Amino acid sequence: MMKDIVFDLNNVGICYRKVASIRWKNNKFWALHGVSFSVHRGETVGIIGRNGAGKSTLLKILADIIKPDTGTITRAKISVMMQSLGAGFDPRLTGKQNIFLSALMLGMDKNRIYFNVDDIIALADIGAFINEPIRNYSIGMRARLGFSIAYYIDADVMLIDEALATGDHEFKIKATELIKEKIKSDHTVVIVTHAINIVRELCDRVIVIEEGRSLPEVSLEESIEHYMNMKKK
Amino acid sequence: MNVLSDNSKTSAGSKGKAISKLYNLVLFRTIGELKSESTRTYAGYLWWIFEPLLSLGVYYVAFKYIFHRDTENFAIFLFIGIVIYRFFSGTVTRGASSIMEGHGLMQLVYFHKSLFPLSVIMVNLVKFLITIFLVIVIVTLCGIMPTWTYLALPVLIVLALLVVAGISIICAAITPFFPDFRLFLNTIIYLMIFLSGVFYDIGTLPPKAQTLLRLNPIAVVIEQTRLILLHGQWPNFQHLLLASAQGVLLLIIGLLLVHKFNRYYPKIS
Repeated sequence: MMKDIVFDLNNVGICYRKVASIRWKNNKFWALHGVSFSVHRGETVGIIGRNGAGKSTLLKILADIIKPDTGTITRAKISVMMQSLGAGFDPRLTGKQNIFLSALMLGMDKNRIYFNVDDIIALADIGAFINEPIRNYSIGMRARLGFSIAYYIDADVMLIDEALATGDHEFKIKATELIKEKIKSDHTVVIVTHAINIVRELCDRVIVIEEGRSLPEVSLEESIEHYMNMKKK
Repeated sequence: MNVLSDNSKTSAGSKGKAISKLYNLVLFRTIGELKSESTRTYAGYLWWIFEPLLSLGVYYVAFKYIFHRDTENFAIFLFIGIVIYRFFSGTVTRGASSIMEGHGLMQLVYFHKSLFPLSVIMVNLVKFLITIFLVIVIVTLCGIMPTWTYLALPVLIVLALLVVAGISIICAAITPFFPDFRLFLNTIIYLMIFLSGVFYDIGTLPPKAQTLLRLNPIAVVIEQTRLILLHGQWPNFQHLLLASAQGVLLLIIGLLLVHKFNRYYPKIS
């Protein structure tokens, strides 16, 4: 019996249009055309491909941020979270106030935020800065806070674009371990990445995207090999 | 292939969840915006009172001493018009660009895009309520005592909110497609101040002009609020009904537009 399907994409295409362009012709751009694959519950799927191949656009479709122009996507009734660190931050507000804004944005409900706020602050570990406006933060501190909020969001599906974690060196090591643990648990995860070692370590399957298309799925090692050859060209 | 479905979440339940998320986001963003706005200047919250008073000063000097307007209680008359018009112009101007400016955020996470104009509307509503209170204080200080007709004020405030919200959301929905619309909008707002009876009393115009100008719901709100605060008269029910209908219609059109393009806005570049 097949495992439960979380996403099922069938020939999905996305077309961007440029607004306010003087030339009326040629203002269409197909970021994706003909992407088909499915993701099952509990799997970790890697998406690899060269820059501009449409990987991030694909994540936006999975996150339900945009809808495909052609083809279909069937999604299970699940909560999906894109690992968007610091989404919805207002630099003029304090770290604590921003925890509420950003966590609400990422889909945590209000009571849960009240329940988790102390844990989030403890994980971020930025001391008294938590009550300072975040415009006074260093990039590292901001990354710590962003990661800590995202870490406590409990979604069925996690979508990760490029980096597993950001921030200063010390925090990055800790955060990477935490997120790897989360990925290896029964979460369904889709990771867009360039890092082959991450694919090897974490992914059950891998989808190669080339010029807006998904290539027919082959084994993990074959896909990686194909991707390496593609990059050399 | 069986697509996984979770029976515990009915579609009505997820709709309710989406609305409660939107409600909470609007609330938190509004409070956040009000707080951060007040920390940006030395006088902070006091600017919400100074600003309308300053524009009153400018118009008052212009009309009293340059055009020699000598209506009774002209300062209050003018102030009521200015406060309501500022609520309209401020919200529509900020609201119009709100979805467009949220372009970056909407790439990262899904939420209903009406969040942007709704937050702007709520921030401006709070400031409007404060200035309305200020108006009442000044009216009383000038010796015009409150009457029972004040009970109709909340109706007029809701009416103003409906109209302002409707127009703001419609403008917010259009602007991402035509960024130039904002410049055009500035001119309209500039023009509208003369068609809203801010500087004159619509009731003194020829009947035909009156009917025409009362098609503008902002003009109706200003006129009827003056009736209450300056003359202690109950507002005209017929005028209010028409303006409310316009307000509700505008709001529905606006929300439908944003809803239709909800997942299209992130694709506009």
